[in-house]
Amino acid sequence: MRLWSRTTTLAAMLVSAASLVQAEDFPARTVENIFPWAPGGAMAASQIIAEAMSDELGVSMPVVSTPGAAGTKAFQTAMAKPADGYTVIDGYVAPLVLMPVLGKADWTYEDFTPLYAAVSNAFSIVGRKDETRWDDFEGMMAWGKENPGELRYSTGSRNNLPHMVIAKVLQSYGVVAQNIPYPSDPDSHKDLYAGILDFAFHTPSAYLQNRDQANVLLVLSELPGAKKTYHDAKSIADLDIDLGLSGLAPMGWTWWIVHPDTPADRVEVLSAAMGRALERTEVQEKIANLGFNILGFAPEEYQSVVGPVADQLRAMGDALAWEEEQLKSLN
Amino acid sequence: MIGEMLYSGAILMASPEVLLLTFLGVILGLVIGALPGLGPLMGVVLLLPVALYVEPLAGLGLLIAVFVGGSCGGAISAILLRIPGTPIAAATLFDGYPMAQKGRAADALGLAICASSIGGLFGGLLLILFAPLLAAFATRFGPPELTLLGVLGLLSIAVVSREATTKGLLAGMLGMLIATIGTDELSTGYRFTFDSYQMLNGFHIVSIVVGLFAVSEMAWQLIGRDKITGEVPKPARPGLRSLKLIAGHIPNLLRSSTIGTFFGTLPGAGGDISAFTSYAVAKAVAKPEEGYGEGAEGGVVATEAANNATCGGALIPTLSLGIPGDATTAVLMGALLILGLFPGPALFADRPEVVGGIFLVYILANLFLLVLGFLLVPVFVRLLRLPKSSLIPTILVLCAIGTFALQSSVFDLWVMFGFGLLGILLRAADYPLAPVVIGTILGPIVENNFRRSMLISREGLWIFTDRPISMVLLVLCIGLVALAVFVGLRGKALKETVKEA
Amino acid sequence: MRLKTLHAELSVAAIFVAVVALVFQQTRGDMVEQGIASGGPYSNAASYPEALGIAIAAVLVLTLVPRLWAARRQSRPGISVVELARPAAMLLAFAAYLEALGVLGYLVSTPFFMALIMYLAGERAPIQLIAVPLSVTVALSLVFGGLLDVVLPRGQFGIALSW
Repeated sequence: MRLWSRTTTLAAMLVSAASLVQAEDFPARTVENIFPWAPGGAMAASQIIAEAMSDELGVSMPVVSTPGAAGTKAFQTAMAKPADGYTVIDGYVAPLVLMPVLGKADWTYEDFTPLYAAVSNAFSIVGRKDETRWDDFEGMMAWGKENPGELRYSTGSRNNLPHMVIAKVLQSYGVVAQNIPYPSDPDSHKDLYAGILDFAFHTPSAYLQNRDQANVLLVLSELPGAKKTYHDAKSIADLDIDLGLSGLAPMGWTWWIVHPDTPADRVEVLSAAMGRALERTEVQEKIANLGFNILGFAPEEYQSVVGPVADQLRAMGDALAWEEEQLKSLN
Repeated sequence: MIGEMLYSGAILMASPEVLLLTFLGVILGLVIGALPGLGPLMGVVLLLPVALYVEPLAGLGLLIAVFVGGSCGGAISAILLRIPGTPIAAATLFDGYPMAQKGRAADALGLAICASSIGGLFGGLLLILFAPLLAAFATRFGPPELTLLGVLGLLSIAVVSREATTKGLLAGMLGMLIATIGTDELSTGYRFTFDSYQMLNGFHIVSIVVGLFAVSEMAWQLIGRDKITGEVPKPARPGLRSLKLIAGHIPNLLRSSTIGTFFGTLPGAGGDISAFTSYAVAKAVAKPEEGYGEGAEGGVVATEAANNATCGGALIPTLSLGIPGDATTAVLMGALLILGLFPGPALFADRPEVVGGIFLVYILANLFLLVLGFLLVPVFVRLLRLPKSSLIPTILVLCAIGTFALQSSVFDLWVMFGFGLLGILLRAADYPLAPVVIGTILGPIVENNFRRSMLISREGLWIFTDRPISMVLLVLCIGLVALAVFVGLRGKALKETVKEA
Repeated sequence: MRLKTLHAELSVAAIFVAVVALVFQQTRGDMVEQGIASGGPYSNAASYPEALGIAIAAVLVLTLVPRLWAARRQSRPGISVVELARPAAMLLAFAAYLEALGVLGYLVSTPFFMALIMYLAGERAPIQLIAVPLSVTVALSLVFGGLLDVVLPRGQFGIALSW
């Protein structure tokens, strides 16, 4: 539809565009959102916000998928562009906080200028409904403890945020399990339901898609809203042990950011437009339909929200190394 | 399930953008196919960047329509100029050109368009019937089965490439190696990235195919060996008479469409092989007085029905297994991947509306083909006179900004340029180019699924024989290798006897 | 001088040899440093490229030996170097164009590049040499910039049609 409506307005635009225009007001041309993953549910969420923001700014705002190296390629691509406000980084937690914590990126979250916090979604650990070896999460952990290295699970990619959180949970229970990386989440879900894997991480939208086969074993967030998304399944708040995870730490989220050298007046324009875009009811509805929640934190809250996440992820960092070592010693 | 799929697909398809782009795609496909040297593969390659910038189904509609139109367009130059616009129309000129010389150009064009459209629709019918069945069956395919399917696809390249089996293999393996560049899926280590962030995700498939095919083709054209010479005949508009003519070839149509669809489903075999095969079969079945090779209607019908049915056939394994049927569908699959639509059973389960939409745009494209083919033939005939001197720079600019558009990356442009040089060299050395692309797509499927299988397996390699479907595929692979060796040895023996004689 | 298929085949063979050498240089160097060159399937990213490298080397020998044997007896005329001048010039112009996109931007560099290639391809009519490049440049800018939201290269002077 976008293309169609644009075709019809093109004639009018042609007339006004006949002269070569140099930028005087900001923004005078397309503002790009550099998105760190392949297209999918998360990109749709970003597109909804970008669409509304483009409406506020009066220029178009395409979301450019630039996947690679757990999102760091997008960051590097965006930072290589001029700091003129025409490039916004879709700052997902993995490249923004996790990769620096893992030593795989040479920046920290403090090196960027924040706009608004965009969206978050809560992960869950999902098994099959027809599982016979255990009834619930604790049962699976007991089975896993008795059979070290036998459980097969997937978090989509390796060393991503869900992997880190699940490894932390497994470590707390002393369970060694093998993560199987997949090129996409649906591939891993197919193998879960075909009986090849024992459990897999799901996002809310993946859970909703597989509802008739999915048995949510554990919601990886203590926030009540997340529990509701997964129809009141058990969450980490209901466990006997304390994982040391709170707030946004175990969740996927994105905070839109720009190059730190971007002129302050342009940051102001972008930030204000994004804030208004996030307040729109139709944006909030569409985002909710995708299984995401609007965060809407203002730029001033960046430090106080992201800081604790970075601390908790840092504390969690050894879970992945622990899992690797345990697996190595089993083989 | 199929009904639901088609219904939700129809809703998705009923947008002006999808309809418009499918319509445009058929026209562009016909144009690109008719221009000597450019085939459906090139059409899909050139329009891939555009397709990634619109709604997913509209983009796929555009690409599929180009595939369909391009598979027919080659017949126009084959019939009128004795130059097959594409290799897949090479068999069309056996009888198409003689027909034109006998003053039946309009009939030949009409038959070619009708046969293409009907063959395509037949392939589409089989696609709609079998793809969901195959996909449902394939939900039981795990990493071991996917590994072996990938191997099967790669082996087929070697067996099927008619000339230069070893060169095809080398090209395929080069593609597989190119695909390892970037972040390794399992270890998350960086391979061959040379500390450059631009290479963290490997080379973009579009930069690869555009450089390899389009840029090298333009350089090739400037060597100026395939100049168009001779007069282009006066535009002839085929009429409704063609429909009456085609009615006389129904058994031929059905047979050739079946052959075409079958070859389409085989990975590695494309429209050219299916066209030649169905031509050979039609000729063998025909009575001597039909005069095959001297302007028989049946010859045109057989080749054109087959090469368009191949499109539908090639989409079957692409969509339901994630294993592309030929180089063009390999590029199409690349587009699906970039759009976040992972072909395979999961796609049928999670995004039935997209699958249904793809089915319907394919059918729609073939219907458009029938109408547009008739209406626009005179235009295409005029296009054949379009000077190459304008065409070559336009295509080069299209290559550049199309590639740039993907990620606004200058690095991608240089990758494209590099692959252009590689393509020129490979062409000059008589290496086939398509295996490079197929290897690039299938390589990661084979490597990562093999490693996944070994991770999942609790008893090493036996996982490949413990699972029944995997066992069957393994036997097929071994059989194919045996066949390749047998054919290779016999081919050599045959050549020797020819030489001695 | 004439270039024969054999010359091209030998160049391709040289490329294959270089590629295989590069594979082993990387798997034995960089990948060892990263710790991804040993262990099981979860951590070993080097075995597969190495296996491909070995297979390429083997098939290359299988291809090349009979070819060199046969080349001693037959010789096809090949292409004269003069005939390659135009494609070579095209590639140079194309490289210059890709570079110019970053400096001058799409709108300025494209008409010049197109005119140059048209001239190379034998077009001599001045009207054609001006009209075709200009109209194609504007038309493509319309389609990509106007319809598809692509930010075409603006160059260092920021010259572009604004949509």
